[in-house]
Amino acid sequence: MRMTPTDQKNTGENLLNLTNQMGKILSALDESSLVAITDKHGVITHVNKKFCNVSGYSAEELVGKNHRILKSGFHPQEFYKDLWVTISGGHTWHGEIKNVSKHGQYFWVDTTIVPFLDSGSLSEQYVSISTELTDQKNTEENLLNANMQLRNAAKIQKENMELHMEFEKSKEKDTLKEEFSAMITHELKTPLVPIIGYCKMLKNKMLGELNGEQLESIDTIEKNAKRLESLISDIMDVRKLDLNKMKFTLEDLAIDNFFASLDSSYRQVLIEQGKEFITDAQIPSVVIHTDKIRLRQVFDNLISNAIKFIPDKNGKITVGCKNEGNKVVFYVADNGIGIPLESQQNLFQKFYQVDTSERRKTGGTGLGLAISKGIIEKLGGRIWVESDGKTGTIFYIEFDT
Amino acid sequence: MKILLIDDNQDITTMFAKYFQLKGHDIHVSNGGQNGLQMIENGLFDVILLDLAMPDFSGHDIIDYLHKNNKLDHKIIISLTASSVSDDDKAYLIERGVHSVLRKPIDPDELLNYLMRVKS
Repeated sequence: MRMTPTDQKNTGENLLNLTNQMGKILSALDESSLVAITDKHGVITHVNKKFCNVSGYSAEELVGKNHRILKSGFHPQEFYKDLWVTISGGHTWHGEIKNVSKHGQYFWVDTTIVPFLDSGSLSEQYVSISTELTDQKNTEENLLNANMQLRNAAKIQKENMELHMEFEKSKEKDTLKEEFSAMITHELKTPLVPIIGYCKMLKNKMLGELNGEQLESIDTIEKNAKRLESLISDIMDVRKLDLNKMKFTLEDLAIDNFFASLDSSYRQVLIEQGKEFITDAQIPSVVIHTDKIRLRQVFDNLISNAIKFIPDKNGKITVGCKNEGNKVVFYVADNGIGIPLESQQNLFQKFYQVDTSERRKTGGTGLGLAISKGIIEKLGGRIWVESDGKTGTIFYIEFDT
Repeated sequence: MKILLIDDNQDITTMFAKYFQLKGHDIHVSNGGQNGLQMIENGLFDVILLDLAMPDFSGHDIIDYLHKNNKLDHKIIISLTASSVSDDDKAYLIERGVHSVLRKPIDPDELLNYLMRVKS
């Protein structure tokens, strides 16, 4: 069919009208939507003004770049895969996408992507039209975030409460344990007061004459009462060390004073038994920072152990100290029966006593060395033993200066 | 020496009463805190031996009362306790006018020697 001039005019007018209408639609679209056209690889070939405004890029910056320049990293890989499968299959995709602008700001868009087949070049084009969702989405996200933070806060609060309650409980338990210890000590020691008191009065013959056998019996009662007393004290010390409740008062200790006091406590008593007690403070002017009552307790323990094992004839105990590098080393040495090598490693364990079948009865509590080790370690020092198992024993105590 | 012993345990007060009597001293005893406090206020003693742990009215209560009412002057009070006393407790008592704190059990001979030294 041939076109008449009227037809041509009509067609021209129609085209004009159409172009007019298109122009109006496009400018309306510019107001409302982000428009982008990409090739089949996603390379941008056209963007409208709104797209530029929202994304922060100029059209020059965008054209020729892949659309993924706007990817925010928010969506998983599958999300984009699904999008590409849909549009490359010739179907329209519709969804919400979180993008990132040139300046790093996120913006949500409600997007429709329509694939077009260009019949001339047979290559596909994708046209996307999006409207901004940012405010709405931001509010949603903020709410979600706030909710999550609230939940976290509540969880932390709960955990804190639980921790606090546990802490309070353990504190309470410790206090109870301490109170129990104090009570036990009191209850166990109180009956010993009249026992030891009457033993003394009987031995002094304040309550009348006693024969030899009776005196011996009283001696045994008194000895065992005193042993019980040390056992109670030792058990309480072990408990304090275990519960980490032993209190230490650190002060300057002059070495010469310390050894002078040991000398006055032990030398005369041992001389009367025909034994020797020698002090050998090689560094008398040195002052160390420690708890002198507890250190003395350790020395009393080591010396009373030594007294039990030295021979009746020519028994000898030497206590002393020396400098070794930046350390002060104390020692208690005796010429007793020694400690076999296999026993040395267990020596500091509670209730461990070297097999005494062929040795004299020790009468100790079996706790002295465990307590000594505990005290020395709490004071920051080290204690160990050296013995060949035959001719004497040396205990060493070492502190940094 | 005129001694007052306050302790809730009767076996202990009887034993010490016998001991100090036989050693020629003037010993008075009380088995309760309230009564003991009255004896402290009404009598003149060279030395007062005071048990700390007593039910109802303890040695601590007696010390606190005497301290609050300024009645500890010129009194030698020696506390006796079978519990372990912390340095803080000891310092607290001595600050309030207690002469010293001794641990039970104590050998009566040693206690007497100590009292003689304190008094002189």
